[in-house]
Amino acid sequence: MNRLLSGARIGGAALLLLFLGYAWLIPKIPLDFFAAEEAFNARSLPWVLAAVGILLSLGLMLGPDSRSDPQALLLQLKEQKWSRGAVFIALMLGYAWVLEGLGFIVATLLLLFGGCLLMGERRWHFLLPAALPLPFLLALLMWLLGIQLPYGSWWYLPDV
Amino acid sequence: MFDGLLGGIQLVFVPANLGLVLLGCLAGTLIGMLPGLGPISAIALMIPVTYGFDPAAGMILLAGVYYGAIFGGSTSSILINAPGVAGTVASSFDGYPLAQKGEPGKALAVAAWSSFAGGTLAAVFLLLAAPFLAQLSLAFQSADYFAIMLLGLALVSAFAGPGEYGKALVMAVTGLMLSTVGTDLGTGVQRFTLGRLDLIDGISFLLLAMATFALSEALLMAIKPGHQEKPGPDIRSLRISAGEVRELLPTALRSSVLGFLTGVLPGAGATLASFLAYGAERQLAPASARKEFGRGSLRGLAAPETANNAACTGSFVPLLTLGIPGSGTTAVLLGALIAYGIQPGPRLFVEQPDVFWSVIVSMYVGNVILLVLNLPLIPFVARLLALPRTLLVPLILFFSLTGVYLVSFNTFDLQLMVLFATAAVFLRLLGFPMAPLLLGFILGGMLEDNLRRAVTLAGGSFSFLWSRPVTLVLLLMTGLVLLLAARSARSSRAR
Repeated sequence: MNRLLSGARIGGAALLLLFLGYAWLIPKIPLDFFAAEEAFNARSLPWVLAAVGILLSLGLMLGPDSRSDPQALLLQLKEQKWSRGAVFIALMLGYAWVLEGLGFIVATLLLLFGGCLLMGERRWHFLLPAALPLPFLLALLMWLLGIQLPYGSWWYLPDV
Repeated sequence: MFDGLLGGIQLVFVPANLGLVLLGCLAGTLIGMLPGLGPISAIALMIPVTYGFDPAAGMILLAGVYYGAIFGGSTSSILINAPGVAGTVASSFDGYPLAQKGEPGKALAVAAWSSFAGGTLAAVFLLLAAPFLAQLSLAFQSADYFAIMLLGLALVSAFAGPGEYGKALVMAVTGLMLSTVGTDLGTGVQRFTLGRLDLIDGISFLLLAMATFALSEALLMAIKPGHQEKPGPDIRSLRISAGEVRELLPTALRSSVLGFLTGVLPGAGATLASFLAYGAERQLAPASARKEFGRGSLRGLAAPETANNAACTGSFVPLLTLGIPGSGTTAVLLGALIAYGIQPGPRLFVEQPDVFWSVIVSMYVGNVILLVLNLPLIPFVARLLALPRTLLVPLILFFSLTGVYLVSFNTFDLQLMVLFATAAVFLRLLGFPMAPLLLGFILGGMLEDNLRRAVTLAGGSFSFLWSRPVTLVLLLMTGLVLLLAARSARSSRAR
């Protein structure tokens, strides 16, 4: 089983799936009668790329991979802190999700402080002066350039 | 010609105009450092400032902004692996590893000197050969552009480790594939948008570059076990030894010529020039030096830095002599010239020599000012890398995500970026290089446009591939590069 484990084979398999999906979508590109008759149309290059991509990824999967070291790869993959990576991805997706609702400054402060805390930074005397001014400075620069950043929907809430 | 040149020198060396070059270089460098704001944005933002100026003064300022923004882009590329513009992607291949080895000051100094060499030599070429090269550039047709782009793609071997050509090639095809997402500019039909309006304009270069380089780098830092490596003691040192200077001089000369000639071709621009120079330099390097490419080679950093600056100057040739903008940036500059009431073209030499020559002289002065301005700043900028990983990772996230958002103001782009960054982390851990992906993506649109145009002009036939001598020579060179790469991969496997 370990003999099958190599960067080229795993990556090749993933890319093969991607190229197969790409090839499956090519016939869905709309072509009118005249375009379909042309020597070069909107589907021409995608067909070539899909064919070359499938051949190359099959080559990676089936070809010799003398550089692979299954044990080293397994060890490398095992020792990464995947849970922290997953939380970082969630943090970035969360940023995308709340950016317009909370506003640029609040959302960006949450991103910066969230990121620092996730990385294990607890020295507030160091963290605050480094991270706190950044969103404000960028917002000021954008204001000077006449680019409007999202204030956040809470900004517009009527007085109660 | 010399009267015009003297007139240009007199005009630029007026204190007010020297001040404008300084202001332009400073503003361009600061704007260019921000991911997402490249030379196009920098010039577009500065055009309103120049409205009250006379045309020559306005162009002097904008030329300074152009150079400053290119240099500023290299800084973020080298220090945090965040190439904000396509022209500085190749600078990160060796600039970032060099910075990671504890020599960010040296990396930035090499970049500054190389940019200076490229810009200066190209300004001399421009002075001597502009009208002749402008006519020559018009002789290049779509078929030749298609062939030169294939050559650029074949040079992906430059970004592959020994025996890993297959991985580099498949990544280049993936990049080409991603470039086909969105509206096909030739026919207007939507391709691979999956019914999403957000994908109609395709995937932006900045998004892909930030995701695959900066964001994936930050994620790799976040999941990497252990503590941060301590930066070297000479983090701020700008020292380049005499031996290194001797090694880099031929590189600078070769890359200046290559960059300038590539820049002269309308549409090719600084990006292709920097990739070609990097690839060519790796091919020309002796075996011992070639192993260093991708791991912090000074030649690998100097070549693209020199070439992209030389190409910027080269792109002024078709603009000033023919009125044809060779790149997005020169298209914005063309708009500025027209706004000043000047029509660039063959008559510009004769009718408004002050504008023509002052722009050329200001390029030279701009290069000197950039060097004087940036070298003292390098020790301070390089200290960014002395920040602990606990702070550096969130800062990279901040610059990458806000950089992309500030261009499109679309949160879908941020989600797409996270998706690409996650895929890039896995692929990088499996040993797949990201540079060919970006190269394929950048060249994809131009490659398809030129191929379509060439086929149409040839009446639906592919005979243009062998009927034009320039195309044929470029295709033969492509074949040779592929052959050499395959041979090298086989011998590496055998070892």
